[in-house]
Amino acid sequence: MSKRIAKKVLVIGWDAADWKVIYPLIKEGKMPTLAKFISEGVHGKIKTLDPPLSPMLWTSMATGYRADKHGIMGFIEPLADNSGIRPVTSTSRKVKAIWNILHSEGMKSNVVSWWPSNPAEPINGVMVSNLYQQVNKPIKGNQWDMPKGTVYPEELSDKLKEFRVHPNELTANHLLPFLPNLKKQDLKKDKMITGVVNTLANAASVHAVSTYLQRETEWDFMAIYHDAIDHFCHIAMKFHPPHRKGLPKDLYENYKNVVTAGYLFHDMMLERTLSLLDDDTTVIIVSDHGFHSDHLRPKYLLKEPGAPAQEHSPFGIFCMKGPGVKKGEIIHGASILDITPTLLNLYGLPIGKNMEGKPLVQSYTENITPDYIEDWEKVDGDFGMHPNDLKDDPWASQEAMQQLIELGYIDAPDENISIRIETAKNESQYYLSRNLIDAKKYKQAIDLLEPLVENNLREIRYGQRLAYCYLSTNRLRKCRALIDSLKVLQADIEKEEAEMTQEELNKRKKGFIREAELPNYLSFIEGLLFMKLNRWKKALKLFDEVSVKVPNNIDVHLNVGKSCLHRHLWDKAQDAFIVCLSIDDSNAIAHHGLGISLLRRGLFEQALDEFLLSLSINYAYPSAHYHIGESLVKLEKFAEAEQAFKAAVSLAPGMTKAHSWLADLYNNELSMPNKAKEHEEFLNKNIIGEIIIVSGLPRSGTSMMMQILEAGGLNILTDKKREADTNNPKGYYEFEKVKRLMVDKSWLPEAKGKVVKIIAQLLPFLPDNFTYKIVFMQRDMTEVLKSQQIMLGKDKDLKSKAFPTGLNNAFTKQLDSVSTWIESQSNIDIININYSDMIESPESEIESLSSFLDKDFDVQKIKSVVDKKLYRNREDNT
Amino acid sequence: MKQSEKEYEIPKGGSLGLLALGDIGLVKWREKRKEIKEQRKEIKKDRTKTKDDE
Repeated sequence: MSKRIAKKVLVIGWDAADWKVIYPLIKEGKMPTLAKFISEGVHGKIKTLDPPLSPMLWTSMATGYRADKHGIMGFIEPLADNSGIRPVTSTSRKVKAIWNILHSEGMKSNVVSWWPSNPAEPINGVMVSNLYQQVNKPIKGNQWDMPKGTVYPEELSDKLKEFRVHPNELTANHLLPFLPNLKKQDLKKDKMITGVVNTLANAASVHAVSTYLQRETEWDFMAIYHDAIDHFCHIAMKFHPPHRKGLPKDLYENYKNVVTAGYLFHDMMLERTLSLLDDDTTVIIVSDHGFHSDHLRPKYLLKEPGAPAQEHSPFGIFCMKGPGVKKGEIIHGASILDITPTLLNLYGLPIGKNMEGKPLVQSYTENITPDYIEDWEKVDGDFGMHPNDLKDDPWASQEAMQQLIELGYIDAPDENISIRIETAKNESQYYLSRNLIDAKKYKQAIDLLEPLVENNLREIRYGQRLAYCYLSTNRLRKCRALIDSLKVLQADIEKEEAEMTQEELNKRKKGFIREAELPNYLSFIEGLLFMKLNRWKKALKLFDEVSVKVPNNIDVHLNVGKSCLHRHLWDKAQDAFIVCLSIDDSNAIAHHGLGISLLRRGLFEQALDEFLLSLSINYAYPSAHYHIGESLVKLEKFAEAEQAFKAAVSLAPGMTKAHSWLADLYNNELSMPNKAKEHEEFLNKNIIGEIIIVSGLPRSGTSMMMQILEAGGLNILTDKKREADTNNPKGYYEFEKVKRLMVDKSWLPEAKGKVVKIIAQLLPFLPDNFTYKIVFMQRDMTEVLKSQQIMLGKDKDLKSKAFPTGLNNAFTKQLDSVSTWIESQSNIDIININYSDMIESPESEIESLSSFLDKDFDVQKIKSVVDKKLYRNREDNT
Repeated sequence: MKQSEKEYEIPKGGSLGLLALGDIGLVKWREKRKEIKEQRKEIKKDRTKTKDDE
C-alpha cells in the first residue's frame, strides 16, 4: 500500500475560475485568502478536456475517466419514457466516483452540489445534490420545496433546507458591490440583474450548507462545488474592464463589477471555509476550465447548442496545500483527469490502471510511489451507489422506446418533443465524439461521427470533426473528399443565406455560423491536411488566412509556426510562436518552436532559454532536450550538451540524431572514445542507413519522379532490365529485386543512400533497420486505372464497360491500409506529391521536395524532365 | 454576535460578509430580521393601542 499523505481532504470546485482574472486581483490585494493559500502550497494551471461542458468535466474530475466511460455527455438527457428531456442526473453515471471508493474503504464523505449529483447517492456521510440551491418557484410563506432526492440521508432534508438562500432575501447591501447602479436600474426589465441575484443566492446557499456540514459532521473527505464564478462570467464577462469598443457605456458601467465582485465573494467564503478546518486537512481548489477575460473573449457566440462553452478557456486553476505538500511552488502539466488519481494517492489508495490521469506527485515534498489496481469497476462490494434498478442509461432507454414506437406499440411524442429529443441525442453523440478526439481515440470518434454526418448532412460541425478524424488516422483521401463536400455545402448555405432577409437569417438556427468559425475551421483542417502531405507552402497560406480571421486560436498560430519552421522562415516562425505565448505562456510546444527559430538564427543563448522554459513545463519532451544539446554545442559547452543529449535518448531511446551527436562529442570534444562506442554501435545496429523510396500505385507518376530525382543529382538504384516503351518512353527506373521484397530483403543494403522505386503495396515489407524517406505519388484513381488499362491493352474494354469499381475500391482500401502502416512507423518520413500538381505547377512541388529531402535542386533542370505531353489520361474534373 | 473572538455588526439588510460566514451568518441575520419584524409589530401594536386610547 502506498503511503497515506492526507488525513482529510477538502476539494473546493470553482467552476470557470481563471488565473488571468485572479492574478491581478491578488496583486491588488483583493483576494488575500487565496493569495495566502497559494503561498502555503502549490498552484498552477489545469488543462480541461474538450468539449468544456461542466457536467462532463466535473464527472471526469470525480471519477478519473472521460465521458466514453463515465457516461455523462452534456447538460440534458432524454426521459426514460421518451416524453421529453431532463437535466442530466447522477443515475446516468456509469462508474464509481471518488466518494464511492472512499465509502468502500469505510471513510465518510460530504459532497455538496457536485454536478450532476441528483438523486443524492447513499454514501457513508452526507450528499447534497446540485438541485439543492435551485429556485423553482417564489417563496410562499415558509414554503420553498426541495426536489426529491436532494439530500442523503433524507432525514437531514428538513434541517439542511434551512440553509438555502432565496434570491428574494437578498438586499441592496448584498447586491451593490456587484451592481453599483442597481437603484437606478429597472429590476423587472433587466434580465441580467435577475441572473446576478440568483447566482449570488445560489452561492450563498451552497456555502451555508457546506459550513454547516463542516462544523456539524465528521468527515474524511469533503467536496464542495460552486458554479457561481462561471455564471457571473457568462452574464457579465463582456463588461469586465477594460471597456471594449462597441459596448454601450451605460451597460458597461452597470455590469463592470460583476465578475470582480464574484471572485471577491469567493475569497471571502474561502476564508470562512478554511477557518473551520484542522491544520492537518489537505485542501484542493480547482476549476474545470478557465474563462476568457481579455482580448480572447469571443465577440459573439455561435447559435448552436452548448455555445456558451466557446467563452471557456482551456486552462483552469489548481491549488493544493496541506501536510506533505510543497510550499510556494508552481506545478505544470495538471489535467482535470488527474484529480481522482491524486485524491486516491493522497489517501494511500491504489489508482485504477485504466484511469486516464496521473497523481500529481510533483506536488509532494517526498517521493511517493503510487499503488495501482487493475480497475476499480471490477471491485465488488458496497460502494454507496444507487441500486442497479435506479441506474439508468437514458440513451439506451430512449432507443428501446424508439423501437417500441416503430413497432407501433406506443405513440411517438409530439413533433417538437421528438425533434428536441433527437437534437439532444445528436448533440450528446457529438460531444462524446469531441471528447474522444480530445483523447486521440479517433477510430471510436469516427464510429460515432459517420452516422451522425450521414443523418445530418447540413450540420457542417459534425463533418468537420469527422474530417479531422480522417486526417488524424491518415485516411487522407476520405479527408480530402469530405472537406471538398463540406466546402460545397458551405457555399450552398452561403448562397441561400445571401438571398434571405436579415429577419429570416436571424431566425435561422445557425445564422451566425456562416460568418464565424465554421469556414475557418474547415480551412484550418485543410491546412493540416496540406501539412500531412508535406505541402508546407499551401498549408501556411491557409493558416495565415485563418489566423487573421480567428486571431485568438493558439492551434492556428502553432501551425503557422510549424509551417514556417519547415519552410525555413525563421523570423516569421518566431513571430507566430510569440503570438502563441501571448495566448498561453505555458505552452511547451510554443517555447520549443520559438527556441528552434532562435537557434536557426544563431541566437543560441536566447534559444536555450526558450528550450529550458519548455522543459520547465514539460520535462518529458525529448526534442527540447535534443535542441538544448544542439544549442550548447554551438555555445561550446560540450559537457552540458552531453547531458542534454543523454536526457533526450533516455526519453526517446530511438532518437538517432541524439546518439549521433553523443558519438561525435565523445570522439572529438570530450575525448572519450570508449563512451562513443556505445552510440556508434547503436547507430550501426539500428540504423544501417537511409534509403529514399519513390512509391505509389503503378501508373501514378513514379517513373517521372525517378527521373526528377535523377535530374536532381540523386543516385538511382535501377538495373534497367525493363526497357522504355510507349507507356513509359523515358524508362521505368525499376530494380528487379524489389519484386521479391516480401521474401528477400538481403539486397536492401545496395539501396543505402540511393533512390529506389517500390510500389505502395510492398512498403509494409520494408525492414525497420533502415530509415526511409518516401516520396509518395498521388494521382486521381480514375486516371491511374485508365492508364493501367491502356498499358494492359484493355482500353477498348474501358470504353465499352463500366468504370472498374471493384478495382477502384480494392486499390483505395490498399492505399488506406498502407497509409495507416506508414503512420505507425517511426523510421519513415513521407511526402505526398500530387501528379497533376507536379505537371501543372512544378516549382511549388519541387520546393516541397527539396525541403523534404534537404537537397538544393536545380529547379530549371528538374522542370525540363516534367513532360506535360505525358499527362495523357487526364480526368476533366481534376 | 460572537464567533472566533470577532464581533460582527448585523445590519438589518444583511451583508456579503454575513453570507460569507456561512450557516451561522445566515441564521444570525435571519434572527435579526425576525427580531426587527417583531419589534415593528410591537411598535405598530403600541401605536394602534395609543391611538385607540386617545
